[in-house]
Amino acid sequence: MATQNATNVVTDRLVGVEIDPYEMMLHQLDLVREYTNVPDGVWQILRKPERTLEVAVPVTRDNGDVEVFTGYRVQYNSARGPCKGGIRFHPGVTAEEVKALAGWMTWKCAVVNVPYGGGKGGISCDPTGFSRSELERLTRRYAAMIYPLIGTRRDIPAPDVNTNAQVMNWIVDTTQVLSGESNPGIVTGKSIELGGALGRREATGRGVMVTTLGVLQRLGIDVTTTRVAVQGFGNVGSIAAELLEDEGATIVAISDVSGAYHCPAGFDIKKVLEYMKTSPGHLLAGLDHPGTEEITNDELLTLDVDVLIPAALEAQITGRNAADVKAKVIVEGANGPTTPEADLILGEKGTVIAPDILANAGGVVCSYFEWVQNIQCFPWEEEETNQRLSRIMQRSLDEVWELAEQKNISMRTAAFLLGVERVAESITLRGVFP
Amino acid sequence: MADDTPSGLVPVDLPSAVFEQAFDVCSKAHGHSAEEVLHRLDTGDRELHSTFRYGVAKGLAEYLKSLGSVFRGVYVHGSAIGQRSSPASDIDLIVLVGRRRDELSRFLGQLDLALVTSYRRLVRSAGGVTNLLDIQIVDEREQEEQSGYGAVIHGVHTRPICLWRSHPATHGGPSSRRAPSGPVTPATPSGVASEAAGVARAVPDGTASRTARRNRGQATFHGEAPRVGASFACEEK
Repeated sequence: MATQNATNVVTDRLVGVEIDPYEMMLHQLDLVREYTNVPDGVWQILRKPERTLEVAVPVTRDNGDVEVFTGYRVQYNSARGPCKGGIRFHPGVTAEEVKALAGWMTWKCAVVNVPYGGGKGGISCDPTGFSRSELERLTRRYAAMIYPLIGTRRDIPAPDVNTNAQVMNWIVDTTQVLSGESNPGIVTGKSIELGGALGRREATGRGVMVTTLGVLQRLGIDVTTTRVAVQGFGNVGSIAAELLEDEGATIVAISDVSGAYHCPAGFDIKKVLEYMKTSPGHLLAGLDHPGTEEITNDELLTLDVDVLIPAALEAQITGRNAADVKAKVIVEGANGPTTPEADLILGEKGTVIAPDILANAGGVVCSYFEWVQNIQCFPWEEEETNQRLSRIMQRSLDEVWELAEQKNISMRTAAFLLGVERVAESITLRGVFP
Repeated sequence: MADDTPSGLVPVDLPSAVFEQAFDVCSKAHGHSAEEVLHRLDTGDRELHSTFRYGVAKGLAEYLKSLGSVFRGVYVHGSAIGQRSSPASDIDLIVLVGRRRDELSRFLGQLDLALVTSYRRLVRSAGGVTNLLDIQIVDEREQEEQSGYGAVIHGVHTRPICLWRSHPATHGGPSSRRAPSGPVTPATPSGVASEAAGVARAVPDGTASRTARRNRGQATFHGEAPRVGASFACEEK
């Protein structure tokens, strides 16, 4: 243990230090360069966002005071199509963060081969302190300020942290008032009644299910003999669990913020979901399911299962517990659930990891479907969305898997590489204007 | 759920733990208080920057050792074992692994990013530094064949210092068939020799157990510190 004196001196200087997310994104980008022969000039284009807009967002609070917030919209790269990416309302939003997230969105859209570039937006604010009408005024003013950049063929926002379908509805309305034209395709993640896609709520979980089935098939594992643990029983985890159960898998462990549960014989997921419709806070707490014991979150992660689906928070599988993880396959339903040190340890053990950039891309694929339906003014049946989503996710997995085998690299690196190469190819084909 | 958030995190408090340990190494080697160490780092004292880098390398070796069988050993060479480091100098490390994997580069790259970000804040004279670590990975084959940096660890003129090396029997593989051939008695440049003597005095048995804390339980690395002393013997565990 370091002496207290050293600890104090170092802590004083390092208080509040944070890694620049944009620098981190560039670092990840540069790491895959050794696997490609993208020309230098194209690589320089990949390392810079195309456009960064910073806007002042004045809002009249309910008490009559005016407060000015800072908002951003970044279009990272549009070589593959209009930019796509969410809008977040959070006190931690910075220009650097938005640039990084727009970059990550660029690679993610390319991995699943939807015709989008990457974008991102946000306002640095704490929306928990806003009334509904204040939130509406904030959203509408922000929408007006970024209106010169966004558009069905230019840049299509979506919900993200602390934003939802209602926020998207306000953006649709604001831009319609400004333009005088109905244009629902300007955002995705809207309410169904305003042109949202059927199946959107389930899309990410469905994508996780398809990815899991695909990996099992590649490994020659029969899904009906598969035991699955799901950490996080929200929109993503619960849907993935339900769909995997439908495919014959046995879901032996589930968890949410209220606790973790283990049922060696397998849960009846539909009964669990039925229970959660009326449970306090719609949580698992108090679940009465035969043959079930309560376990810790750490125990869930290290259960003797075939598949582990971390679908809750980031940084759950770490250097501390990775050596104890027994699952042969990890499918990342959440963003960033596996830390780089855990990645190393799991890789050494031969654990197959379907990375987040691929496994949880079902949401953005469904956003693409919503946009297509809006452009065509022709809503699809939910079944059509589900079938097309499955095909795209399966195809994306196949492509990532094959690239990983061909280059002898992890699926995480392969997915990133696939995305980056696709963007680079589009830039190359277009050439540099003028 | 948000569509899109990055994957990839670094152990957020690891830099603090490593730097605190490096401060202790500097204090013991040069007899300075932590405040004095910081002041000398700020003003670009080359001898202290070398000792500081050696301390960082030691802390990293201990951390990498805590990650199971992924890493097999850590050597330090270059300016960190002399008296010529500047605030902008990187730390030259050779890391032994069983086999090369792309995850290694990603992990070590993020480790460097985390460290250099904190280093820029910690040391006022380090503003424009973009990398703190220069890490060469040496796999089992290169160790066996003494090729690439596998040859450097056997170098005669600029032999690197072994901070830690696992016993081959603990991880199997070809090298388990023979005794480790890595150097156990490196060259002893004056800065490091004096630091080593200082540490040896301060920690007589040379095996003080250290635990660096990290947030969320991620950044804790356990186990004995590499033995330090005039001979810099590699730890064989």
